[in-house]
Amino acid sequence: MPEPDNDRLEHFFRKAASKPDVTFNEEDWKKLEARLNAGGAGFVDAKKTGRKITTAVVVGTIVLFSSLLWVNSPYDIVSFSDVENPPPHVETNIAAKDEEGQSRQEAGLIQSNDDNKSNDVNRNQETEKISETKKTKSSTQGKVAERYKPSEVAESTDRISEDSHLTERTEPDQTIGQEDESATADIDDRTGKSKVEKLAGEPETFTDIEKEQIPRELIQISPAVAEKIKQKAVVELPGAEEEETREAEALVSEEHASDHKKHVATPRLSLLLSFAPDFSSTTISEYTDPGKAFGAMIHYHVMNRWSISAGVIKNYKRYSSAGEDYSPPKGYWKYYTNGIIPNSIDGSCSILEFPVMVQYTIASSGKNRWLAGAGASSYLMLNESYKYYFEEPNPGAKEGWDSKHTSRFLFNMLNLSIGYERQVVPGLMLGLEPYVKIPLEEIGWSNIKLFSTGASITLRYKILGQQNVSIPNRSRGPD
Amino acid sequence: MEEQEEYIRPLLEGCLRAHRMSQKLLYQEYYNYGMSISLRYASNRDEASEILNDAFMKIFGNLKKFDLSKPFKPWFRKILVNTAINHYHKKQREIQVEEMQNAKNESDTEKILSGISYQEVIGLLQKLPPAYRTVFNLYVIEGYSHEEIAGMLNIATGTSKSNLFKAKEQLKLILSDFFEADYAGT
Repeated sequence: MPEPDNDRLEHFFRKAASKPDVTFNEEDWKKLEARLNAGGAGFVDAKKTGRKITTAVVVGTIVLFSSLLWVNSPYDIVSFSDVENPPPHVETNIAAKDEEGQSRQEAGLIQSNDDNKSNDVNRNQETEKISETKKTKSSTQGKVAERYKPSEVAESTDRISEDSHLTERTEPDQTIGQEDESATADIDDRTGKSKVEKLAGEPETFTDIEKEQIPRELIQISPAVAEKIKQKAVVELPGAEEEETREAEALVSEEHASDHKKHVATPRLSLLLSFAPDFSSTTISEYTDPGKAFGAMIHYHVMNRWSISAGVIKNYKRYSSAGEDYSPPKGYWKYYTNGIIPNSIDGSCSILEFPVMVQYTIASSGKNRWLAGAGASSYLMLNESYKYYFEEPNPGAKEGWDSKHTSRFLFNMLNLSIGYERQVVPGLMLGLEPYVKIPLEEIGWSNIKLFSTGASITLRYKILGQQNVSIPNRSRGPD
Repeated sequence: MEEQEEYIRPLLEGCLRAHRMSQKLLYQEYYNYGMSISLRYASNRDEASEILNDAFMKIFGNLKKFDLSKPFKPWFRKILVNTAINHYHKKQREIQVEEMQNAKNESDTEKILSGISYQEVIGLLQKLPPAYRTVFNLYVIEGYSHEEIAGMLNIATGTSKSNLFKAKEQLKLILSDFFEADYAGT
């Protein structure tokens, strides 16, 4: 028996090893799958990533909103519910402002001309404000002036003249001083009475007058209305002042009311809950029975018409399409459906969606608002389920595919929406927001481009008050 | 090779997103190849599938580190062989070195003589003690040098040479009749 040499032995085993003949054992895969499901590689990775995305979105949102709150801190924060009862809120707000402003102003006004220069500058500013107050008086037909006590008017007039004297030192204020005088003259011309006469008997103090100037800063009377008032005042004869004043006030009220309508109270920070029947499809034209979407979003009103939002939406999507529209991994049909692509496939999936949106207020009127929004969403696919339909019998073919493991897709959907909202009770707005979601990449094991459309019913709950304070027209009260 | 890698690429991309179906298809695609390697290192089929699954767990967990533009098969083979070596280390701590006498079983020799198949070749290798079998596989099939094998297995180069020699002697003994019949005079 010749003994084979080492080379022969090695050659024999190399040759045998190069021709493997091992059949696939499903049990081996099941063991691996069990390990993957139990928290092995890939599966855990996806879960961790999902948690990371969720955490990042939540933390990012909090940080973003905190930063914006900090940046915008000088803005007035007024309770949303206060819009329903504007006069008290305005007064309260103004009073709060005045608490710090008034003492400073009064201190500045009471000081003599011997004060240092910096105080003079402050006082110039105060003078400007007082001049503004006077202009307000003029434009509102003496509404404020009528409430002066004679002594206070005298005092304030002294202050104004004193301040006018001070304004002569600085050029910009000279104009204001001049306007102030003419404004005062206007009042006298129109009424034909002295201010002392007009204001007699009014119980309010100078502080109240100061309060008036703050809303004046926010109320913009159109030049047309101002001109109309002025013309009326000049043309009409003395003695008709009462009627004239009412007319003018009506005009101003109209102006204020329209201003108020234009600025729907928008909460600075709000929580938006939504529910939507969701129509999804792999192509734009084919839609099946609707799925559903529940969501919670935090909205931050950045400026007049712009707001940003982020949150989470739980989607249950249903879709149906031809087998060719699905693109599972290569070899899938070969392995599982005898190489035959199903004629149609019904699919469903659960998705956690993390949208980041920018919204623009197109128009607002009274309690109504119309919005348009755009943004992008990240998807965390929680599970998928597909059912195959073959025209011809296909024995041995799988009937479908289910998966309960997660997969994630970062900013893979473009969101576009338009919306309508109406305030139903203070602090609560009800809305309808039709949307469309356009895929930027394929998702799921079948690599589908999943279009979605629907209309969200939204409920917006105020967390922080509105950013822009609209000052409604104050009732004058009994004369 | 390029065609194969093009075919594999979508599966790898799916695995990167932890797609279960992609994972399964990749597993199926490389099952035959992977088992052919792990069976040579393992004592039995169960151990071979354990080695293979361990290797796949590493692959799924570290796929991000893999450059998709490079061929997958060599990377897979390297991970699988390393996993087999880890198993060898693990087994070395658990079991004592087997005696060579098992391979002298007369009935086995008879079987080989009747016509050796791939499964039987694997069966022969699996009868070798792990220390001999591992060195034999690494040297003869994988093509590593004794210095490299010594480094991988944490043994002396002399031990590697000795284990290879003993493995061959054992296999010669088993296959002597087979070689006499098929390779005599070649």
